[in-house]
Amino acid sequence: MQVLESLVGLFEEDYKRRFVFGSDYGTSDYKYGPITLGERPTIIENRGYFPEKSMVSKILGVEKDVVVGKEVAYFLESGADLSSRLIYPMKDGVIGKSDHNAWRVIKELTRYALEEFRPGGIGFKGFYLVASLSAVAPRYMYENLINIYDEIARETELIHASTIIPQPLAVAIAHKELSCVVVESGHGNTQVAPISRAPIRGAIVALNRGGSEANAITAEILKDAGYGDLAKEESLVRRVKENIGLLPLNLDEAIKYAKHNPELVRAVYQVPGTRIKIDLAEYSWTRFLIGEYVFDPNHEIFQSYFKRGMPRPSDTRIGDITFYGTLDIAETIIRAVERCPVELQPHLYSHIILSGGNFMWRPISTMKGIAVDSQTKLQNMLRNKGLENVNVKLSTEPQYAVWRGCIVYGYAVPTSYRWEWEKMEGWIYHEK
Amino acid sequence: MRITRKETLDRIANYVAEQGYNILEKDFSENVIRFSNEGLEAIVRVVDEEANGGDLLSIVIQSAFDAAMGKIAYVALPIHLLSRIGDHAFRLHKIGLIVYSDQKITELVSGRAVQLGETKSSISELEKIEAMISSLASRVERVEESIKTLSIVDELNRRLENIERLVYEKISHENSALSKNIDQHVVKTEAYPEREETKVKRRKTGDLPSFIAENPWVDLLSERT
Repeated sequence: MQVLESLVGLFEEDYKRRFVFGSDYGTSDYKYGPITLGERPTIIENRGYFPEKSMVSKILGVEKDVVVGKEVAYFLESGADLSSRLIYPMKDGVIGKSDHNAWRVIKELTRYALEEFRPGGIGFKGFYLVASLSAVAPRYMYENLINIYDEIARETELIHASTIIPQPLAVAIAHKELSCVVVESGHGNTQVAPISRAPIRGAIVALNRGGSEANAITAEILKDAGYGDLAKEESLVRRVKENIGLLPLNLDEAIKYAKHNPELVRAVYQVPGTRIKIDLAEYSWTRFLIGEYVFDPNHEIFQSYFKRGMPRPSDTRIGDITFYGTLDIAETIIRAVERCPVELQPHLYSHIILSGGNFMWRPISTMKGIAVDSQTKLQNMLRNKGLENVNVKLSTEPQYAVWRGCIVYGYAVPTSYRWEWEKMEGWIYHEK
Repeated sequence: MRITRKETLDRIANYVAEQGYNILEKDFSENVIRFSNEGLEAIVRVVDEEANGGDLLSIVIQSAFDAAMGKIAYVALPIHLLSRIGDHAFRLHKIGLIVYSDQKITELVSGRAVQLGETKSSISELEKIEAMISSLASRVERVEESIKTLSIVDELNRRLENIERLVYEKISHENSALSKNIDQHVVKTEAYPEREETKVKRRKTGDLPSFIAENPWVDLLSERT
């Protein structure tokens, strides 16, 4: 009997080795694929196109009401109004409860992803699907997603069971850290989530600040330097930010350094494939403002930008969570950690993981101690607040971390562990 | 001033000629222009300014038929109709699309010959091709069927090997536990330690991704009950 039970467990593992499927709904990209893909998921843009319904489309067999994946490119040159037809469903990790089009895109993307990996042969009864949502996703997002999986399971028989985990938990799992603080900074917001063998939900602190705020100050800097016309193009502004933005260890010292060494700090950016050359010249010291603004927008120097019309990040509330506007990142981490048991706090401070494109600041070798990376900056900020044994690391391949965490979770959690809303964990089995 | 149907057809024919193509025929009664493109016949079917839904439908069907016959098919639309029907269906089906207004004519989507290689417009040729396709399809079907059968055998074989491996591993594990007990001359009332009920034993992680290997979360999560 024991041998038989053992075999059942081993068969379960064998099935999961082949049919666990990860699904990471990011703001820009959708990362997905089964465990058999190995180290990296498949990536497509998290978007869907709603083609104009017309008699001609019908005759020629284009009857889909939403198109996702590579096919979207066929439609992008259409004369139709792109902004209303091309839908990016996630807005800072959240979808409106009654945003039917956005949910429709999520359903179609999920179906598209599962179909792409539909296995042949015998013995397949559906994937163990693990999806991941933002730590600040409200409960209705879980409910809507589960309903969508129910429908897909009925329509395609591709889902056997599903579960949903918060993205910071997935990041912690991917980094093999049992107790840590995950700081996830996306386009519109930043979430700080302490984790100790599970997310400590009551300790999550969020900021209403992300990559878009860094873009905003880059646009102001471009205007001041005489490139106001280019400041209107969002994608260009983002590229300028990524290429000339610097993160100062200490802003005052960095500005002083820039004024004494104007040529060393001078920022010149040639936009590839164009004749456009951006030279900040005497405004090159402002490169340091871009990185600083992400970490701490409270320096008095930012007041002049607010006075001239740049919106100040404000406190806002989504569901049960307050998103703070101007809290600095170190203070945000401290607030989150101090909501956890005292005994746990040192472990959390010693494992801080930074994840997301907003932390990709390059240190410059000729400006050692002036322009630094995110780990050094945050470590310094925390030290200045009296914390010594702090260890900060940057997520390696942050774009894949959430998917990897989903795969590990799906592989490890026993199939007998059923979903409970109180714990927000476990498998939901779908009828076919 | 109202532009006549003939003038529209002439303007479009001139436009085509300006692109370097050889106009073969302008058929005012059918509202059609035929031209040649690298030896292939191309047909532009012009939709009138006043065309209704039925007219449009009929022209699109005829163009789809032209394309199916291996010709390069084009539809010329008044620009105001474009916003109503879009151009994606044309792109997908490689039917060319020319839009025209009083001021301007633009080729929005290039027409392309549909897969059949050299144009063979006769019905008998088409029938021959159809027969070949159908014969190929049935052969592909048979190959697919054989592959499917082979993959089932492979799958069963793989599973059988797996079961054998698991059983041998289990038996050898329990044998060694038993001989250990005998060696120690320890008399126990329970022959084996009680098995943890739902815990999945992690064994070889060699064929699993590196982020699973030696991941402490695997043991932790596998204890969720």
